[in-house]
Amino acid sequence: MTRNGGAREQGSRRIAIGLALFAAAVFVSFIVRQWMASS
Amino acid sequence: MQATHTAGHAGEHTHDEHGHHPSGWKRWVTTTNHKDIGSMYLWFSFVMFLVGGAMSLVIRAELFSPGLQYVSPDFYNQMVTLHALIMVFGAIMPAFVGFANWMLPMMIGAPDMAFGRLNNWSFWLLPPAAILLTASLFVPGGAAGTGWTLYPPLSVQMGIGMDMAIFAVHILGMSSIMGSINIVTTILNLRAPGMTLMKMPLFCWTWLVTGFLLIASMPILAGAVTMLLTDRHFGTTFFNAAGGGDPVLFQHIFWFFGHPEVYIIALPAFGVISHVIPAFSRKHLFGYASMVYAIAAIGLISFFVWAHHMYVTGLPLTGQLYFMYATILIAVPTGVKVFNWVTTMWRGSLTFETPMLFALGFLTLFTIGGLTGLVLAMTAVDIQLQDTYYVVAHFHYVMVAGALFSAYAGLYFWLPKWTGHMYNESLGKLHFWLSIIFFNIAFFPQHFLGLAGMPRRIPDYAQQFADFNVMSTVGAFGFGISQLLVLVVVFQSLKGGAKAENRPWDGAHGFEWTLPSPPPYHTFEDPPAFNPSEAHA
Repeated sequence: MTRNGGAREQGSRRIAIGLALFAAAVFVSFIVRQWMASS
Repeated sequence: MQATHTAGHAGEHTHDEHGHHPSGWKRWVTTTNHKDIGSMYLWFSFVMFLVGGAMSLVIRAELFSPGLQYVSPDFYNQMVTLHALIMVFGAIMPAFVGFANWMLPMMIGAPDMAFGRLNNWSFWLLPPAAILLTASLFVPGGAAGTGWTLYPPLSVQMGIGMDMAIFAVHILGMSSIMGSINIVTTILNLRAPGMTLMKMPLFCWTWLVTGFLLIASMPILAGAVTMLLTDRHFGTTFFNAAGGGDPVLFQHIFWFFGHPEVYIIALPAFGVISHVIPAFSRKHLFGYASMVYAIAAIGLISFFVWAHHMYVTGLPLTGQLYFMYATILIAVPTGVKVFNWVTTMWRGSLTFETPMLFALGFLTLFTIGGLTGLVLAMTAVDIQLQDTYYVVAHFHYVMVAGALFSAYAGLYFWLPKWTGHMYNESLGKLHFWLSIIFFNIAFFPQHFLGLAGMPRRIPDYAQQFADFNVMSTVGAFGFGISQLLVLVVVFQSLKGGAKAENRPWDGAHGFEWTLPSPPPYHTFEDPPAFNPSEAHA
């Protein structure tokens, strides 16, 4: 918790990118799964 | 808890990227400041609350007496749909995001949210979505009339208003996902040194779990409405039985999002109550750790109970039993929370200012809503009560007396901090008493209507339901009109009144109460020192 501002910003970016990728993966995999199931 | 805040540092610091203050409309359009964005969320939410509330009054006016009175059945369906969509996505969710924006950075000793520009964009996506939804009333065929659940086959068949609703849901979903990423990152990464997760204020915990719920469930809703869109315009048949699809599939997908959505609304409400009750009981919150585990458990279980909304769709018996037991299981962590709030008050030095009154109103009425939820969780009972007014009564006890009363508790609790002025306590109490009385007049009779078999989403009804419907309509109009009082209270507090101290409530603790009221534009540019012995206050 005593990291400097730069490290903190980098940490924030990593968390945000991870969460965004997770959300995108849920969205895409979900539609693809239904697509495969219905075709 | 000691804090070395940076009141007045705005002009001294060289925070060029944060230090400029555009004035006028530019301030609000370009702001990256969490307090400005929080205020915009709250105002937006109140405007949407009035718009959605006006729609509910159209519904109640039509139901004042049997027969068709004022609107066509088609328009009635549109009102039902837009009322729900606007209240859920436009009013209640943004209200708690507004609280999060205002309070989370100040509670954890952070200078702002992790991503200021993302925060600005998250908010400014909301007005176009709201315009799309409301403007859909004026296009050929009118707005979506499917109910907020957007079930096919009707949603595949409707006009352009349905497309507008789908795009609005897409935009609202994007806003929610971006907002959640921001909130989760802020909580995980910007806490003051020494503030471990288990020493965090409980409102932060509720938002941490809510953020994950949103990030996991909103893409599901986005997927569902995207498939709806491709069924409508691109020849797919995900939900069309004629092409090998299944309309019930949509219900599964929708409720896989829809049930966590209930807790996306309820959890931040729990967080607010967990601050208000200890403050006006002048005690620390009872059972902090069990509260955290209960929040996490509620969040987790909410993903495994979705089909209790679908008992009459032909689920296999084992499926019905599983979803019934899983749903009842949620009563355990919820019961833990109610027990802890009551125990916090036990032998406390209680006073009953407006925030506490709304918190107590929440506690009693939300518990009633929870109990009727247990009734509806029973498969055999639900098969009788499905799509009756009992369900309407149940979720309004959860959403209005639960989420809205909690939002009011938070508003009155933090208003002195935000504006720097105490609000008019008499008007606040009048607002509470009118709200709780008219709320019960409006919604309690609906339990009886539902038990007697009155179906929901129908503008006409049999003569035997007339008396309770009159009561309900009178209560709804009384409730609606009394909500204007909050506008008076807020404007008075913005304009002037008794000066609020840094900590206007003597039982309140936390970094946010060490700041001046109102707090300076930039706060905690240097992380404050955290005193662990005063955590969980």
